[in-house]
Amino acid sequence: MRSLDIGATGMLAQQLNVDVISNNIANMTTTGYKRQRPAFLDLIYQNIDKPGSTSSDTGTTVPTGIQLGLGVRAGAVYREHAQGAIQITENPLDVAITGEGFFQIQMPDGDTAYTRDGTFQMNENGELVTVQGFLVDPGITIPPDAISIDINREGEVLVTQPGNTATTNVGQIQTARFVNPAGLEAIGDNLFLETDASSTPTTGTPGQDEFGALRQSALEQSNVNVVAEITQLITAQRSYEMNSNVISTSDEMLQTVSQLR
Amino acid sequence: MENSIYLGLSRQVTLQTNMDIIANNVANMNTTGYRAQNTLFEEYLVKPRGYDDPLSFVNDQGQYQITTPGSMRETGSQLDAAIVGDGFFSVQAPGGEIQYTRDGNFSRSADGTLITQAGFPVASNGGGIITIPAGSTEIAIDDNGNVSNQDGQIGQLGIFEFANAQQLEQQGNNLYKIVGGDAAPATASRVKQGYLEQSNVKPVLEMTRMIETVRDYQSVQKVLQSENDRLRSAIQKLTGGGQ
Repeated sequence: MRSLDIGATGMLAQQLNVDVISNNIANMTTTGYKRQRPAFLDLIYQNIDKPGSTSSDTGTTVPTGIQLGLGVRAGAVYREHAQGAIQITENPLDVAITGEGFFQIQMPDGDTAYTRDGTFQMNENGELVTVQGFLVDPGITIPPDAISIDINREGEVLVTQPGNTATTNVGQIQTARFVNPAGLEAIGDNLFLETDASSTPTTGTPGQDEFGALRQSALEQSNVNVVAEITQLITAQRSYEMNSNVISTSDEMLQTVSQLR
Repeated sequence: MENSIYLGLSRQVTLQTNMDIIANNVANMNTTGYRAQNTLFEEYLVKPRGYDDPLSFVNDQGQYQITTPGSMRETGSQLDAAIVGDGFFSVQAPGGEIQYTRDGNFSRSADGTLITQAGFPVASNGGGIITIPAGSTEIAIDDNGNVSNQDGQIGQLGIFEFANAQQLEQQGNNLYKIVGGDAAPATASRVKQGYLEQSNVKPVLEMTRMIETVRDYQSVQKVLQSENDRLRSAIQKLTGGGQ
């Protein structure tokens, strides 16, 4: 019976739906997290009676035919890169991007990763690093005697040193943009890697052209909308139940058959 | 002799087709732009030799698409679009053939081409592709499907209407192919950016139809059972039944 297998594809799809929703809810307070959505597509069709096939020798055709669909599949789980809310913090090294762009992070293996999470710290050498200790690219070193650090909207890092009223420019934060940010590969730790689908990055100065400006002492919250997630969860759970109903009904039909003596 | 069994069997076969279609509707409850299907049955009269009245078998004659619009879900995504009205987006399927979809969940490929979630390019009104330049920030899709960015118009989505939506053949991947009839450029459809059309499957309807199907199936089974019993007792009586 096809309906047994079709019900199973439906249950699998809804299970994936719940997986994605639960990951979104779990990352509700993860800085720079972008919500994910599954996209479902209908599976192939079996033509029992092809629409448009002739039904008599006078050339009349079947108006609709019979096409049995074989269920559903998850076509993609994509990321919605909408802006998250900006939260003000006390840390002068927290930076949020308002608009498009990603911070570039130097991975220990030499690759460049991309993130929207601007929770930066200083390491023992005064270099700007992520929470995991990975260097921000291009590298920025804060002098040990710096009294105050300012990061302006164009990404210039300015420090004030004792005995000097003027600020010193110690580096420039650059951001990267992608044609298709949804095509980036997530590797955990709020980091992404470029793929063939995302295109190669274009780097630039924040706040110029289409690059989003930076904001110091602020962090971008996740863009997860809890109300939307919960309603999606309810829909997913109910459709899961209904698909399991399809399976038990098909089972009931089969049972009826097997009772025939 | 066993005509009543075959009559019942013809009904059971159609009920299974019905169940398959219901199962597919339920499985696609959350598929963007999916349209529910329904079966059509026809009476199939046969007049065997020696019978005065013809026997009425059941045959699954066809199926039709429910064309009521699905509900709209707001996504806020610039590349999501839904159609208000009877139109369909056009998509370049593999092989260059134009196919149609109600699913406006679009993405951009690495070179900026507007694509569906299955990776097929979305067709413009002229049948070409729509490429969104790399520097685009504000992508807008207006009522008529014109796609523009901050620098001006990029292209227009190809939106088509059909005199008879039943002439669309499902292809999977949320796509339809036209079989007979022509696609006419849309006149009465509007595009809504930032929304997706949900499937128009009505869960309550599907569940009740499912219960109905299984009960019908069981009652046909009862008929078959009693017919079987009748035959057996006839054979037993006529052959003396060992008594």
